[in-house]
Amino acid sequence: MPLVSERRTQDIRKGWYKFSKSPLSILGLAVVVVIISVTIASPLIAPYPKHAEFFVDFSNANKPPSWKYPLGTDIMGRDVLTRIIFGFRYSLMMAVVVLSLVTPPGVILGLIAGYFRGSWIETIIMRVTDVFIGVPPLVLALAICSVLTPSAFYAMMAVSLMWWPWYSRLVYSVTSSLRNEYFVQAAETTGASTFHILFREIFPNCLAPILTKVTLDVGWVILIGASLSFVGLGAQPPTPDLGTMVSDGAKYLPDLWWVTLFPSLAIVVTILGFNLLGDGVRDLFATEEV
Amino acid sequence: MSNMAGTSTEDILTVGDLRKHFKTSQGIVRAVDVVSFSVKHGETFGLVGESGSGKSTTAYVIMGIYAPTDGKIYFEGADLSTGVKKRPKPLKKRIQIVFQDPGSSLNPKRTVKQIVELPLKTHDIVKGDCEEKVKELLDMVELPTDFMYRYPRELGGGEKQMVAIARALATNPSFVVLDEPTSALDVSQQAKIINMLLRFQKEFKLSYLFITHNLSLMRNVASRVAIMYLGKICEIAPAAEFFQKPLHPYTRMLLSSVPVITDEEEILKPKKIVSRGEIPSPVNVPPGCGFHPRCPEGREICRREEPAMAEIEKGHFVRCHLYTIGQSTKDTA
Amino acid sequence: MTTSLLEIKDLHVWFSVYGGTLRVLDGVNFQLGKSEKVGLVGEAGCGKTTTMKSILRILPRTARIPRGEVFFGGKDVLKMSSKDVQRVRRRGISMIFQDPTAALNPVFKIGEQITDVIRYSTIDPKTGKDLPKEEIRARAVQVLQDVALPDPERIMDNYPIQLSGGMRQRVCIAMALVSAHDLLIADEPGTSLDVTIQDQILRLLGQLAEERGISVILISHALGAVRGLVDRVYVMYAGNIVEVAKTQDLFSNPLHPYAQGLLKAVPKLTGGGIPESIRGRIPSYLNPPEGCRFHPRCEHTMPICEKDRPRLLDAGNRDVACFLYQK
Repeated sequence: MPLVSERRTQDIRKGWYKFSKSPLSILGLAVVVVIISVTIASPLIAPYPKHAEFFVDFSNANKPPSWKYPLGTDIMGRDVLTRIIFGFRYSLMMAVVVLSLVTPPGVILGLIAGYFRGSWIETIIMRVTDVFIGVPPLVLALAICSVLTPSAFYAMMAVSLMWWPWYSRLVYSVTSSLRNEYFVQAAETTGASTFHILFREIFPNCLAPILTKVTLDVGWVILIGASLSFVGLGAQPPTPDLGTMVSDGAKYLPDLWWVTLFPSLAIVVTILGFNLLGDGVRDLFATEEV
Repeated sequence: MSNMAGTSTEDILTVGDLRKHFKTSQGIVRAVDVVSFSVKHGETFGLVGESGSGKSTTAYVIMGIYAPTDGKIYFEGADLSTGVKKRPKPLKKRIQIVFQDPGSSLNPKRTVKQIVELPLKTHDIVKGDCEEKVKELLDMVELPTDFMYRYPRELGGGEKQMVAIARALATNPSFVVLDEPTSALDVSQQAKIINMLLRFQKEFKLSYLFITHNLSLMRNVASRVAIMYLGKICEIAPAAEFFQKPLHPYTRMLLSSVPVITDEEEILKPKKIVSRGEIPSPVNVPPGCGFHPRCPEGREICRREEPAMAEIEKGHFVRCHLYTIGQSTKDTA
Repeated sequence: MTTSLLEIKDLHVWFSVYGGTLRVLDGVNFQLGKSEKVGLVGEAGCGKTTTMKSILRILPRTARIPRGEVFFGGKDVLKMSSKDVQRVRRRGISMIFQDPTAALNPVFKIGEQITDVIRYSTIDPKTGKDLPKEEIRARAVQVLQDVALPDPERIMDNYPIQLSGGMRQRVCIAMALVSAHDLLIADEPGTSLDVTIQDQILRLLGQLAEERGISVILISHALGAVRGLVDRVYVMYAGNIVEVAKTQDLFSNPLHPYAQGLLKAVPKLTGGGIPESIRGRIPSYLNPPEGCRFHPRCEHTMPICEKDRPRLLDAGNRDVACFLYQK
């Protein structure tokens, strides 16, 4: 329908107009775009791609930043810049995997619990959610990872397991506030099925908060992932990972400062970028009309 | 009691001794407390009252949004005294509602077409794409057909309400509940919509339950009017008589506060009662007659005993001791 | 008139939005004398609230005023420094907003909110500083009594949620009275309340204004509410004032086609049905119609209406902006 696609472009333009009013949101968007591009193009732009795999060159180890190695080298002689560029890959992948795993069950459970408010269904779902939320996230992840052999895969599973309840709680709160709106009652009195009401009427109204939360969560998942790697429970060597790099270099502070500083900065910038973008996304959805 | 709630064939809807109570942390809210009335085929029955009177709750119980705590609802002869989930699906086509706030009665994330076609799809009225039928409905409410692909936020209040009306009429109902359909609209939008509703009533032989707190509007829309206070009906009368010869003190109080714009209307308004006080919380209904704390005519008996509904003139019922004091000796036996 | 308290001259207010500029107010003229009660009626979106917000300079950031002057007590509010505007807001004009529930802060007691207003709006004439606490509290209780609230001492300790809608509106009126020394702007007071309460509130406003000699601007889209309270009425349409008349004159014989349409469309308590409404809808402010902004909906359009804008001119006992009355 030509009319429909015209409206879509209009909406996108309006959205951009609103979004671009905030310089911080633009900054966030820029940072995120750069990070994603770097991640996709890592083999092409990293100066020493081989350093991302198993590589040893003690003759060039522990070199401070120079023209040849812009961010210096670590104790194995690997270029820090290259490893950071490849390190982004693991971080972003963790975020994508975790958030994709976590959103569908969280959303579905939240919708059901919110719609059947006051019944035993709601009680069961929300109490289970409460149990998972109650456990300190890092502790749960640590417990799981230390029981099983540490690996990137288990780290992602552990983080997912303690991340889903936040989504079910978010969707639950939106659903229960919309539950008694007139448009839901109009659908009920007409005789629409529960499936329709949950997924065609209520769910579209949850999209905006979900999208905002996902954007903001990327930074936090990356941080948790880096924390797990920092204690050795995430990606294993020689896989370059920002958290591992920070922990490896920490022993040599303050002499080999570049080995720890630059990966830490990379983590900070990533989280900051996604947070600023998330704020911008949230403000974008905040008011429908100018 | 319910001397007008027999299911005769000329009544499309009969409500008998309806009660709806809600349990809250502060106590039981008797939102609807023994309400009985009937709506005849093709008429507009008006339900008037202020906030807390129970008029909207009555409508919601009739629609099935709430299941009645007690009492009966008969619609086209069938017993409808349950919540909406338990009602037979074909019956849901015949009775529809237009809600008060057009802003929240349309899902902001769905297009007008999706909103209007929902009842069509739910009841399989149209197989396949509903575009033609939706266009027909939008035409009927005088909205341009290219509004189909717009979202509610792109429409004005009056237009949103017209979409809500199109949606309600999509299934060809015989009875429509109109819950303050124009309260959120301007005077000229209101005029347009009311005229449209009256036209549809004639054309499609609809019966309406019209709820509003706007007495001037009610005067021009309803054929019979009932006024509610704290969950009970105080007075029922044919429209002209209700406004020219109001009997219940609450009716008179309400009429005397109506803001009017012509001198003729001023003359019609009861002069004597100046409104006093506010409606008490429905958790704390005063004993005896619920209106007695605000009533300028209150007597001793009003504090003790609840008055019963009585027919003072043909078709004119009042629930007030002022008019039944002579008969009360007969009742208390 | 040099005795006029408030005078708005040729006020234009524009909003920048996606897609261009909303030219909402298009040359608004308005006068109000001391101790005068005036109504401003018009449908939603016609610019009534925007006009009032311009007086207090509380328009949103996207608004700008390319032309026009707002004289309060002889000085142009639009050109004042922010300190002077602050003084006007604290001790000259105050506004009662439409929704009393939203106007009160839910987490503070009524007493705290009123004493705040008193503190900002009055200065002890002897010391030039804030009044002492006991004095402020006494005044708060007094003003709650003035608005006919039962048991003011107890209400001071209540939270807004514990009061009914009518009581909250009275609290808002009380707060406005404290700082309204010259002018009170009431934006649809009582609209969200029951008609019996609304009646009480309007009568209260009228009575207090009379007692204290405060001028009142009553904004409403309900014509009946205005009729009982004010001496003169301004009718507004799409950012223009289209008619100004004494209340009695306007209601018995409206001249402007829009005013006529409005009065016809109001349902009457005496019956008689509701005539067809004014056709069309209010114009878009992005591309307002050329000439008279009402002409696309008017039954009496003439060729000149599409080209020129009619000015608000004297037509005997009132002002009308319509070419029908200008030869």
